[in-house]
Amino acid sequence: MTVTKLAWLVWMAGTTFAYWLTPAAYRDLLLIGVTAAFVGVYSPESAIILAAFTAVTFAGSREQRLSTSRLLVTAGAIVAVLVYYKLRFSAGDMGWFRNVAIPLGLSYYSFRCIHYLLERYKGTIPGHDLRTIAGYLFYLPTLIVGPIHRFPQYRRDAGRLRWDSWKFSEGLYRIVNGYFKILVLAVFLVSETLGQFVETIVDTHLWTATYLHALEQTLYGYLMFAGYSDIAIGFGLLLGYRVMENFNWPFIRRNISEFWKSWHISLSSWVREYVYKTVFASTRSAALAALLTMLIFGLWHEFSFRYIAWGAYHGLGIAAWQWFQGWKSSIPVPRGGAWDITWHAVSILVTFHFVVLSFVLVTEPNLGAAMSVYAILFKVS
Amino acid sequence: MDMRANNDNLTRCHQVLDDARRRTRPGKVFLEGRVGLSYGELFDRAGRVASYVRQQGLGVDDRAIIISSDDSAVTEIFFGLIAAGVTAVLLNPEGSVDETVSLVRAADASLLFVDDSRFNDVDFGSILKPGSPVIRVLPSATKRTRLFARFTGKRAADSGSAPASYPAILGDYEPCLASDTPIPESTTAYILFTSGTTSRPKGVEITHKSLFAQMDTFVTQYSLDDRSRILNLLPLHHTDGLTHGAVVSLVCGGTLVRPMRFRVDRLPALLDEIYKSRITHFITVPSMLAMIRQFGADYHDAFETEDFKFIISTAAYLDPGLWESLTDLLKVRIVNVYGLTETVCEACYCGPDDDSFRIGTIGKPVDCEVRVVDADGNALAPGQPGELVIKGDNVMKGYFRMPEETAEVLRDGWFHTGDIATIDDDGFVSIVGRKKSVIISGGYNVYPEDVTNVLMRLEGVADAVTVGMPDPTWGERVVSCVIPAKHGDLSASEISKYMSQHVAREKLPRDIYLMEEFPRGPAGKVKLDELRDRIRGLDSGSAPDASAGIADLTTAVADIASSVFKLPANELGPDASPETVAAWNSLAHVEFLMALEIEFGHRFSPRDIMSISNLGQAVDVLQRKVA
Repeated sequence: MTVTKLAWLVWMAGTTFAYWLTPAAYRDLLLIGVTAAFVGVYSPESAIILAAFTAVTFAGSREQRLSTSRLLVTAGAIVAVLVYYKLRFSAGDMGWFRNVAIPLGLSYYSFRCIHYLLERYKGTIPGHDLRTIAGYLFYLPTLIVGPIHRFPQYRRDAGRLRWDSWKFSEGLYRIVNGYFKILVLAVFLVSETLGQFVETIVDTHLWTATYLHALEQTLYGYLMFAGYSDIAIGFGLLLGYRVMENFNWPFIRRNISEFWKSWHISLSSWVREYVYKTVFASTRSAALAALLTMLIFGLWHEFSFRYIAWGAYHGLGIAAWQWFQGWKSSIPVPRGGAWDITWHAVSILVTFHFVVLSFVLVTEPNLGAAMSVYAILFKVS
Repeated sequence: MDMRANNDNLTRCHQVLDDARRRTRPGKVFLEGRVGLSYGELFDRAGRVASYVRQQGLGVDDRAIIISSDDSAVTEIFFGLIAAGVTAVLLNPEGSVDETVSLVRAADASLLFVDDSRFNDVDFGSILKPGSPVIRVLPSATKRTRLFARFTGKRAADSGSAPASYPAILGDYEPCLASDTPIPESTTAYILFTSGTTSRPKGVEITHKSLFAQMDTFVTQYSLDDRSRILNLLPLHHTDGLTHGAVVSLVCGGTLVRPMRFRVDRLPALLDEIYKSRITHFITVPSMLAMIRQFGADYHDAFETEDFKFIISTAAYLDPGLWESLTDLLKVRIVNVYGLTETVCEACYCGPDDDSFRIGTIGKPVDCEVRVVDADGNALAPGQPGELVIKGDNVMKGYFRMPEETAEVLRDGWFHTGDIATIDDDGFVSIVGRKKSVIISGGYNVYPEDVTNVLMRLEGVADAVTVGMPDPTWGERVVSCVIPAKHGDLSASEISKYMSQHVAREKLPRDIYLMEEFPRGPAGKVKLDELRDRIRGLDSGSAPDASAGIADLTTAVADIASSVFKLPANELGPDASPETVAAWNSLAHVEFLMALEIEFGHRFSPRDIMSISNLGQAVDVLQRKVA
């Protein structure tokens, strides 16, 4: 099931309609029921896993203060299931952006469960009843492709839920916007138009074609995923919830650290919060923390060498940027006026191309193919 | 519903009830809360209460007491009583047994409604007028069942010798709010006691005329109408909950929203309720506003709704710093109002209109006159401090059966507030001090003598004094100083335990100091200013002031964050985080944590590091470590 299927539109419209017809006190139950039905229809295996994860999360977080051992057992069980399925399906030939995770939504809801458990462990949220936890996890708008929205925001919106015409209107706008990004920008303009143009010049202008192909893959992935996120956010708004944003103009960032605060925000902030901090707390090494964080970020997408390479690429990139921060002030460069604008533009261009080159690793079928692309781009014979 | 056809012939009380009935649908919600109440239900039950009390032979000059924490029951009974001309006396449902007995005796009432949970606390029948009924108020959840049983002829609850219960007693009566006998406007509508355990508690008598004059002012001043949804969690046995909540909601035909009893941990839910329930007016006290500033930084969007008009701060002094910072945070107008139980509720209004709004003042009088006078009652020039006196329809009839005390504060129609004020050239009134010794803590008036008198009854106490000390959250806090009897071994915790059993929660001393002597003047009178200085010394010498500690810590953390994130410290609030601060990237986060470790000399554990996602959490973690 993907959001571009007509059936998804029917599910969205039907859920929204039934949701607002249901008395306020029972809307969460309706949404739990609809989500369970949806997952049950399209991925029964996922429905069983989601129900089991919900039970584990509820049972695991009932202590007044979640102990380390209980956290390790409960979160470990969820991670084990996720790893099992990632390993099992990693052999599949899936496009890098189309990692909708089989079973349906597993990558997203497993991280939501771990988030909840870790926040309970940190003591930032009190325990909740099964209905509340199920309401958070059985949440149709973000089930398929995220964002990995957070419990406190969900809980707040559930507590202040009311009909707002502006939210509904904004929700419709975001959905239309999402489909526009997917169908017009990603599919028609980037994939079809630019893709066909690349095909026509590949024999005569190999370097340009290879470069444009890399751009095409990056833009296509961004527009598709940003479009999915828009639809999820819009669907959430139709139901009165504010789902966290997933992208914030990632291609106009001046460095890789800024980029990772604006790309796939719900996941990048998740790993920053729970992986980076944990590794740093244990090792006191910011570079090692960055490297391990990005490796896990990569493995979340897929268990494969190409994603390990991709994670390492970004982890080392962030570590290098951190190292650069220590001595950049000693570089004698002209400052002020036009120079600042120039450095700003150069920074954006360098960051953008660093990102484009990274996506070559995962958009090509294997590492060998990626190396061939690099050889062309850097004219290495 | 029996109500006269010609509205003009009705007395004011009945006009108000009739107007409300005409303007509202029976199904419209009057009270939205833990147990809801529609206008139809309210008029039905209040009408039956009126019929019941008339049948009991009660009317003008009779009093009936309500001791209940059931919002629905209190409002039904209150309106039923005043419709029958009976004076309602509302007492604290959580008052201590001693206080309750004292006030019930003082009220000299002919009828009493008391929560089932408190029914056996006291032999109420023996302290009312002889033969007066005592009616148990059953929890609202069971009311409908009982009422239904009554209508269907099953009289289990009231059969035999079982005491009468509310609302089962209403089953036999037809709802009838109006009466053939007019109710004079000078009739006392209700009595609220402003002090509790002294031998002569003061009961403020408010007439129908005063009450409804004040309601007219509220409706105009706050632009209230039948679309108004008023959030007011203040207790109904206080004027700020009763008149500023229940009565004014009925008068404007709006809805009173009381979804919960306030607790600090419910603050987020309360703020979300403002948005969710489309609140138009939020009536609260400065201590609650202080908590919103402290804990509600992430909840400013609660007020981002086109329905909301303004916050009304009442019952205590609103600190200008709190006022300004909260206005900036919430982006809403905070109307500061001033009044006393003796002036029904309010007299001066700072806002909502711009002409009467000036932060730091109580604004200007509305529908009454105010003056600042010297000790001889002569009006003073603008800017001169003196006692604030008030004259108008909103001023009380007097203290119940206390002609001397009444004459002391009511002179030539002017009510002497005991507050020291100035009036500037533009007519803005500012409170600059207090003549009387009342402590205003969290919006509650606490008379130090009441607390001291209870303390003195404890064996082992040789002498005691109670004073108010400044408090950033509560405005003032109750502090008692005790000289133990010689050879005694009384501890502060024992005193605290004793007090918790004998005084209401708001009167409970927050701090108790054991002393060998009090600073006294030549006549032996305790010098309260010197005593307060001594308490301040003890505060700073023993346990550090937690709030001051937090403030210092917050400032230090903000300074460090400022140097790491390259932003002015005043732009970094407790909710500043990687999501809101552009320069707060993963490396800067590491730098920030390490700078905190070096500055405070504590090493964070992995759990600590995981817990820090914004500045407020950094302060919390450091505070735990410092502790």
